[in-house]
Amino acid sequence: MAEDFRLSAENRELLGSANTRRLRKQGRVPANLYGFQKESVNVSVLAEDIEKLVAAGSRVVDVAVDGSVEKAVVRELQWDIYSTHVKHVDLLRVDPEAETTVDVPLVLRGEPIGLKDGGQLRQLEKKVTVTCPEIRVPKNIVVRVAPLKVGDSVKVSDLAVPDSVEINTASDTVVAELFDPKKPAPASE
Amino acid sequence: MALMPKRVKHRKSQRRRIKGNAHKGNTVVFGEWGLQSMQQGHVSAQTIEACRIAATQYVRGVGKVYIRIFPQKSVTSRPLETRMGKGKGEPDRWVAIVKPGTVLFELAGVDRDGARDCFNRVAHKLPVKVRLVGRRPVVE
Repeated sequence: MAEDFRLSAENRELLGSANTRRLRKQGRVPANLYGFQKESVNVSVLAEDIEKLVAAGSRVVDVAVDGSVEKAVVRELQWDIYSTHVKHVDLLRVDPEAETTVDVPLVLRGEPIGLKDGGQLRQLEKKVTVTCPEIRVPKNIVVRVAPLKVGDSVKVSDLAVPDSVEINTASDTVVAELFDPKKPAPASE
Repeated sequence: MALMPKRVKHRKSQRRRIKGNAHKGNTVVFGEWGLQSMQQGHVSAQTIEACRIAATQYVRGVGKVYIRIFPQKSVTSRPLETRMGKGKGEPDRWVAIVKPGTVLFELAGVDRDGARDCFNRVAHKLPVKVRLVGRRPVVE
């Protein structure tokens, strides 16, 4: 199991707005850990840890509560009205082993060097099908088109994806190409 | 021309107290930087227009300015040198109600220093204390 951001949580016995307000004054943030066919637990975490989590931008966390570690994703962050600190965190338990197959959008990045030579960029595929753990589904896959010259293309096999992600789309599928608009297109049979 | 509603149900409205904080329109949505109010108050259509001109002149050709408030409320006033009574005055100006936390303006396409300089010019025209805010971080 991959190491993720670790959150140390404490059980929260006193509930209600007044107790929660006192908790926040002590530098802790109330949170709920729920889902995955288990009981919902009221916990609290250190505000410093939440600040680090937000700065890191990591969605998947290892929550240590009562001596056990559970894998969870940050479902929702509630902010104060000035967006300066987090008031509450929703943590959803997840199965780290569960895999899924989804379509992930492709995003072109960069300006091809061949554009100056009269080339024209064409994106042939808008998304690819990937198989990966449910908690590691990428938001998008970046296609670097900056090094393309006229006549060059980027194939699925050229895409850089994390180790946990496997692309199901055929590896020789052309994702984007820089073509010469003056050249006539090859006649289809 | 200053902003005003196209059509309203009632021309005159009561003054009312501005209570609480902004629970809507309190985050940066369209741009990268926002000007957030720290106080409550009324911002008139003329003020919004003056702020818009100040901001767009600063970022012309580089960035884009978004206005996040709209003067929806009419404010009446009495003509000068008239006696009291004879009913409520006529609508004089349109104002936007601003609560603490409201994002008044947003900027896109400029860096933090550029946004600070631009919003400094805008802040001088506003009747409320404001501060510069960025986009709320996203955990994904």
